[in-house]
Amino acid sequence: MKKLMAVLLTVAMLLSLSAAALADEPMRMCWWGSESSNKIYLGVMDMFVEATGIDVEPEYYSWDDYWTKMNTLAAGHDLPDSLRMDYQYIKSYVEKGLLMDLTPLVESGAIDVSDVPESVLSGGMINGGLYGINAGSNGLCMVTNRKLVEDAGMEVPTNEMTWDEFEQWVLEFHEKTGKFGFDMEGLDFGSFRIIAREHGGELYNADQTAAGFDTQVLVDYFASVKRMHDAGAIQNVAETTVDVGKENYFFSKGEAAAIWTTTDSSTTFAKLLKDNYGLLSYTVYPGAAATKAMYVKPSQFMSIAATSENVDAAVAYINYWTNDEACNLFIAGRRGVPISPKMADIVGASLDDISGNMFAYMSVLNEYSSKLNDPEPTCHGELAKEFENAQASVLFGEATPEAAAESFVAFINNALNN
Amino acid sequence: MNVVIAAKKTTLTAGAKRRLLKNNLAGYAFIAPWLFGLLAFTSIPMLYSLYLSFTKYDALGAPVWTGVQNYVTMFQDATFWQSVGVTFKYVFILVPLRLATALGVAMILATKHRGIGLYRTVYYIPSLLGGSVAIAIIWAQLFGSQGAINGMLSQLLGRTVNFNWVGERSSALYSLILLGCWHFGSSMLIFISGLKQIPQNYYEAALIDGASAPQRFFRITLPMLSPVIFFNLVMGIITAFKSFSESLIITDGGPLNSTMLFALYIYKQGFSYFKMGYACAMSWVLLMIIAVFSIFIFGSSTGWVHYEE
Amino acid sequence: MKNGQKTGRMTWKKGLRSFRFHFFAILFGIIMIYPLVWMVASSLKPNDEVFTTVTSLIPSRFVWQNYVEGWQSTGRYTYATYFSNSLFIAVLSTIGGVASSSLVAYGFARIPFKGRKVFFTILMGTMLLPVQVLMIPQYVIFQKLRWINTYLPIIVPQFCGVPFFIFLNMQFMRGVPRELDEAAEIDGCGWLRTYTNILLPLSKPSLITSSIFAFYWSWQEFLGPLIYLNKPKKYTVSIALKMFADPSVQTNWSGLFAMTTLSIIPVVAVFMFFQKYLVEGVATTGLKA
Repeated sequence: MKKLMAVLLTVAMLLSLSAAALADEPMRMCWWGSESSNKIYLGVMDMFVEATGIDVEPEYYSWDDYWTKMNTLAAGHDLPDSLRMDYQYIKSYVEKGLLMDLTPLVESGAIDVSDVPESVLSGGMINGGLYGINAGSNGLCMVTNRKLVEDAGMEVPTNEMTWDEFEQWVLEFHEKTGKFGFDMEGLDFGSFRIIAREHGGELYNADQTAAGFDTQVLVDYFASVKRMHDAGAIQNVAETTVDVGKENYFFSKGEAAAIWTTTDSSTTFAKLLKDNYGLLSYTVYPGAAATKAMYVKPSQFMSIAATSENVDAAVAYINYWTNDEACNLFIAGRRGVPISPKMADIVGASLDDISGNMFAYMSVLNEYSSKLNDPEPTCHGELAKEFENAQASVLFGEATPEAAAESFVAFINNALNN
Repeated sequence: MNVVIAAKKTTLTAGAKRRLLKNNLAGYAFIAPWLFGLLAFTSIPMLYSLYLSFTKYDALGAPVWTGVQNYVTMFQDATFWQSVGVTFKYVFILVPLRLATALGVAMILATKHRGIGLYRTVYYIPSLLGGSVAIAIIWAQLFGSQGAINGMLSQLLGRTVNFNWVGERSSALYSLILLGCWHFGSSMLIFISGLKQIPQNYYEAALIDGASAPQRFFRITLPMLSPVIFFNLVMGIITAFKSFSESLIITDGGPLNSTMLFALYIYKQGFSYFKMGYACAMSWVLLMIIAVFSIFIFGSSTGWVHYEE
Repeated sequence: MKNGQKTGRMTWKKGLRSFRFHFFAILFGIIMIYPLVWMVASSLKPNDEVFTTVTSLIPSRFVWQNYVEGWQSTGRYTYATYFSNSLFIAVLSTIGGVASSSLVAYGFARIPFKGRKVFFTILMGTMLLPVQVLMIPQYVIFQKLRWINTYLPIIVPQFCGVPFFIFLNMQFMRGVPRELDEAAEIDGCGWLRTYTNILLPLSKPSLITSSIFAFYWSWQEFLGPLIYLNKPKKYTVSIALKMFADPSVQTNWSGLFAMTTLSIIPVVAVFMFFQKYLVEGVATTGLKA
């Protein structure tokens, strides 16, 4: 009897649930983020609803889950109207016809990006169409713990430092202090891109059919890292197996002098070190200045699904995010530097030391930057992982720099042609 | 042959026939919920994944038929082979170890003691924390170069030990096996239930006959528990072959793929690298591998599993 | 006199054995529970102390605010919403999963129907594929049924029986002496009555075990809620917990640990409640032997 009751109750509850699913259709908006990012997006959303009267239904997931979810929704032809895209995935989505070409909307003036430089917008250009509006600009940087370095009686790196000088600097810092000159958590495929560009290459060739750098460049890079590693000037590679957050990096604990990171993450390091060590020193990667090898890239894109029936609302949101003063002051550069120069100035003037420091670096970065090739191919994520393996195999002493570089280049060429 | 069956059939009385029919009806009636679920929710996705295994499919566009290409790629994929090796090592060390621990602890916790419920809960709790990020941090902290384990070893050996147990190729997998073993709670619970189901009068009768403790264990407990041991063995192997969340969270398959479990590799190919077709093909190979072991264990079960029938 | 001495020695011996039991049980228990203690301690530390005082189990000051702030989540929906959603799913899934699995198990364990072996093989086979590769086609099925953004795709399949519990219950039923079935049959019981009167009560240990697992699994189930639920109002605790960690900004670790701690309370409570009923089955006594 009891069981029967339970079953009946269940059925009744389930029926009422499915009935509730049918209602009016507000604009669906999706992003990835943690609790703190969600607060930014939800805040902007509230302001947007208040300002425009447009009804919004938000959905949000953590980074990994976001892509699982979007892929599933894509398979079900059910992508949300307004969604965020990442540099690494946008190309795949465009090639499958999942995103809307925004070019006509920009040309008609519906999307207002009139004062945004062409070079900044071009990040969202794929195969001749514009598929995403940059939500803020982001770049790579080397941050140095000023206090550690000065205590060692050394000078912080300058923008003009060459790679050889950098290696010497790292070794010298280690000799003087016993601490690490550099935290190798930042040594990944993304940062190798800068080194490839320093030597006139890129990760991939223009049509993304083969590696875009000379194998010898990778050999030299591996060899240099290995010299620093074997001297104990950077941490043992075994220490990088487990990654449970920036809080545990040697750099964050004040046990390493410098690290490579992205500008948006750099403020996290600043906060982690704040109490004990002064502000961070920002420079471009060693060797990058002479060849303008750095780049500025979109932190993320605002895109519209090709299937969207709420295009006007999604467009209004892009405009609001890009051009509204109150909105940009609220975001306060936490999604990268605003793409509208006017907004960037307004925001820049309002920031605290930590973010202000980063904003100041962005203009330096622009000087040492050159154009970035197309967004990454789909297999980029796999190649990034393979790069880490190749680097680790050198550092574990499993492979010579030559062998590791050669097999990695072969891996790239194979992956790009499949 | 046919004649014999036919002959046998004709000898069945009308009553026996009715009984057979009734059995069939009753059987299908009882398994109907599952059968419905199988047809409605499981069979199509399973067959579809088999189809996908013969395609190139990135989950975004339509699948493109490529024949056996995925299977060919697999056999040339060094990481695939490495992951198979890693997984076998993981399964064959972890499963017996965890089973033995679970049984031992269950035997102790099936007794009557004050506060036994609390002990059971405490021993079960690690299984509840399974794949949480807290475990990753703790494991890194215990087995890292500056970790508590090295602290103890340094004290014992009188010299500094700073070997990174989770970070080095030679030991990373074993630290994950240890973690898996520490999650013995689920098997333990099933063993406790199994032990509770053994009628007490068997033991009483054995005591009267003057059987010693080991005799009671081997003559009563082990045979009576064998269906449950069998269950834990089969499920232990299946879950171990399919497990990946711990290695995903703690080592992410590293260093140098030394903890790249098969299921983790499938996950990465399918989700991180958008090679769903390839992931499906590897999943079916995984299915085959587990099936072979299961068939072997099921085959052997008539020899050692004792059913009341 | 002699008897008194003997019982005295026995109680002393018993006491020693009991002491030994508790001594080792507690010692071993400390190792087992250390991570939980660590997590609870960290949940009470100021966020920037979680990693700077990683080996210490005592916070420099107790920050109960971590729980308050963690509970607030983004402010739009608090953990109250997520907990009630998870609870709703877990309770229904447990009832459905345990009840239907027991029925199905009886069919496989006791009734000699045609095709039993084939279907049992299929049942085992369905456990062998990683769920991830079934996800997208499953999503499409539920979308055709218009079940997206409801709890139906998560709960209804549970009512169709869970292979793990089916197999588990089968193994327990197969340990029940056949004589009992036969006796019931002689008394004129059909298959259903034999099930409800004999096998169901006798498989209580496996029902309890199944309930504990069913509750825990649906409580921590993540992939289903992720892909089938769209509105934050419907999110579960498992989805919400994932949103603490952020690769690009500083993670609110102590908030994460605070909510993880709270999230295991229902599961521990269910375990403690159900395990009490794991006592000796009495019904079979006197039948065999």
